[in-house]
Amino acid sequence: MDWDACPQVSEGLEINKVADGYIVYQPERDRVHYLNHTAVLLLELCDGKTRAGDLAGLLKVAYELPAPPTDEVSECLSKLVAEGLVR
Amino acid sequence: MPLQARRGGPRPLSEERSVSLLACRIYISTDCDRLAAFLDRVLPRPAQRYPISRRHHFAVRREGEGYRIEEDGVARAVEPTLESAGYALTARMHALALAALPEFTKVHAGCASWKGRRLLAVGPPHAGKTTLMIRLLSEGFTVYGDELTLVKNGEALPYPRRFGVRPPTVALIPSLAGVGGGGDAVLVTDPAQLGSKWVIEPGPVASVFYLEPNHDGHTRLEPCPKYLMVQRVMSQSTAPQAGRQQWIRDICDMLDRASTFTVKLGNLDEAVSALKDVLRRTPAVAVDPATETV
Repeated sequence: MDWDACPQVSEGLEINKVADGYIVYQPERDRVHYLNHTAVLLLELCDGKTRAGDLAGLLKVAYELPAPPTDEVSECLSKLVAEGLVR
Repeated sequence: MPLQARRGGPRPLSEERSVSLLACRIYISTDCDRLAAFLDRVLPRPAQRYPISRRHHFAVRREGEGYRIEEDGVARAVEPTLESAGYALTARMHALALAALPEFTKVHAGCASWKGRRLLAVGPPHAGKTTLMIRLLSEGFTVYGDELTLVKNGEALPYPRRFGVRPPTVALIPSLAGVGGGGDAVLVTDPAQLGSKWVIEPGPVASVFYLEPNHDGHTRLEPCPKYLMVQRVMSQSTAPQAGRQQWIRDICDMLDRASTFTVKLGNLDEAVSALKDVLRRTPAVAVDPATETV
């Protein structure tokens, strides 16, 4: 994980919002992704301006956590990148 | 009929039946009274509030040892037996009816309502959809369909089809006693035959239940996150012709306005009680007095 990189949501995704998550359709791969609330927030934070290393701190604030969830962010971000939802 | 007339040419198509299957109105003419009786047994007869946009005509004639089926004046098939002709004919009719509505997502789901709240019971084959729907009939629910529901713009349109009840289910439902069937035969019935109104019309969905079989056990109901319910409903549905994007949109639209639960379906008394409890707490999306059972 390059913590200095600024991940960005991939172009062309169709994002459908439901009350507790996102259903993301990826036309170029014809795939559907089901994202829970945490993954949604992380996806939203991947704006191409925010450093990957700052994401865990932002989630800590958002969910009022005692510590930054660095491992969880690393795992989730890796999945989003692997699936092509974030670049 | 005089023998001479039978030898002199084709028998007249003396038996006529017709049926509305959502957008399709289908007319069947036949020279075989036994085929007509077969159709009387299997064709659905609900009141339907959906506009007809297509009409098809079938003619079925006995020919030699078989049955020749024509569709809109064109020869389609020759079936060897009465049963195979009947099944081929009804399968084709349902295929035409579904093909007439390519813009809908088709979901394996029973559909019912209670006090103005419509529910879908989604599940794979043998999950208990028919069993639950027939039981709900005797509990004051309005039941529309047991197997297939079409979805578009967040609304559900039950597909009119008579219910095929397997023998183990017949034994579970006291209200089916005396309806017929028995033995190893599948009992074919519908809400009207069981003493309720049977009306087919689109409507918004208040609650969606995903059924998982728990035969011989207790019924347990748990809230299901919507993003997971989308996945489950998609696994039990087929996409509209417009493709996957529309498929996702339609299911998301419907689920986002509904409460969503997973049901481990076991004891039916517990299931009825749990569903009523959920629907009692769910705001009515729309009420159509014409279809409610009071």
